[in-house]
Amino acid sequence: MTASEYNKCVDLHSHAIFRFAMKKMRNVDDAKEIVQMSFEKLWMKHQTVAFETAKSYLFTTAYNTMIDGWRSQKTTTGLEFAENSVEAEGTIEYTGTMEIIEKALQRISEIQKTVILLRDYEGYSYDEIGEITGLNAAQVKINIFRGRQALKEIIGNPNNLI
Amino acid sequence: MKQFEITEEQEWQLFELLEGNLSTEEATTLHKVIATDPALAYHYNLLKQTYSSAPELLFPNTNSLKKQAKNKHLTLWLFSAAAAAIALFLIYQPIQNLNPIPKKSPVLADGIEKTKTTEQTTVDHNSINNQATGVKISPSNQNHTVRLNPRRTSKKQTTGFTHPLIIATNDFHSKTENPDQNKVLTNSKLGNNSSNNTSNLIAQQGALEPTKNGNETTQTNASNNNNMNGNETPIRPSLKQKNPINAATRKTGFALAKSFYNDGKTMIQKGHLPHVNIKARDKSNSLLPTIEMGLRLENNVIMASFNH
Repeated sequence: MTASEYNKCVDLHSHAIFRFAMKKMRNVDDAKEIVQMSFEKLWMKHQTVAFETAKSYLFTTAYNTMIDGWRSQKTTTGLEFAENSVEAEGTIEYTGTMEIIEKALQRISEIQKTVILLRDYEGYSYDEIGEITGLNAAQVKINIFRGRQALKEIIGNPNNLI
Repeated sequence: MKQFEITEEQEWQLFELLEGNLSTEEATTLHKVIATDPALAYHYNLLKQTYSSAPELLFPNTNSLKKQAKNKHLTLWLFSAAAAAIALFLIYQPIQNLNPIPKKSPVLADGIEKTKTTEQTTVDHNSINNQATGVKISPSNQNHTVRLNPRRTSKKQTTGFTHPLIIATNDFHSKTENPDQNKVLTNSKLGNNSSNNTSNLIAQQGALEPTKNGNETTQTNASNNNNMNGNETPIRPSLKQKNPINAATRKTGFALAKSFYNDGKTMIQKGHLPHVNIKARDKSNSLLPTIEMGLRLENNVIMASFNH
């Protein structure tokens, strides 16, 4: 990939990566950092990564970066972080379906959330999501199904969020 | 919600429908079933709400992520130019106030043609006794001849890349003032220490070695030798030192850089305007290619002023 192709990738995919990271991290600064790290890694490997596969590489890198971040965060702040999250959620009033879905996405597992976001936001196929997450197509499909079932239960009864 | 319970198989059918995995016929049939089954319609509507579209989130300042392509040739050119500038600065700066450069070198004026035509040149004492070389030879040795190293006088060598002029520019003044060295290097038959400065210079560099029958270091050609002294034996290059230039320049990188600097300094002190050659030796992908640096006089003539 040339420098101009890399810059084209920035124009094409930076917003998508940012949305994906934003939904997962729920923090603007963290999402920005994820995007910057992903593109830095792409630039470091730009001579070996083809332009056609750059989007998949970026999402994979962003996903792995987030996973690494969560792992390190769990080891450092573990219980304290979880308690604060529960307290914060208890004070929220849910008014619209979108807001409920936003909150429900935080209740399902990370892998279910990831595959649903990649499916809905980016329109990836099961195979492409599998390449990013390291799962096979069948596992991706099952995770999407179970994630949507969990979301459906929450939407049908928003009290489940409390 | 219990009144709208459906089986897991029906859940999968609704899921496949919304995922777009069913064919047109299967989708049409299922839509008809959903229209007639309230439980299926209820779950279909709930499941449909889980499909969200991408929010309007944009990454701020995408330009900060972009990179500029590096121009390899421009980088190489800039590197070479910087190296040349540094080399010139190092050479000129320390001595620019001590010895201003004359507009035209007196040595070069008549020295160029001579160096091209012959390997053995009769010493012209008038040209030796010039300010550029500082060598003074007494009139008693006017027929004395000096054999020049063919490498330094060949056209190929003078027009090509040359690196450092160690033989031509070593500080022989201080060495010739050494009485011990003069004793070894002086032609005893002539009895004049100052007469053999030209050969001293060569001998100091290992080009010549004393003959077995004396301490003479002057190498003469046969015809001129008779004019000077019939008993004198010409001095031949040592077998171990057939290539005095290579032997003299076989140094470390630091020593080469030091001699490069000293050569340039000496050339300017002697009234020449050295040219600095920069040549990229390694033109691979490296952004910092290996370069060679050398000094030339004007008109591609190496300074070998002692033979004029």
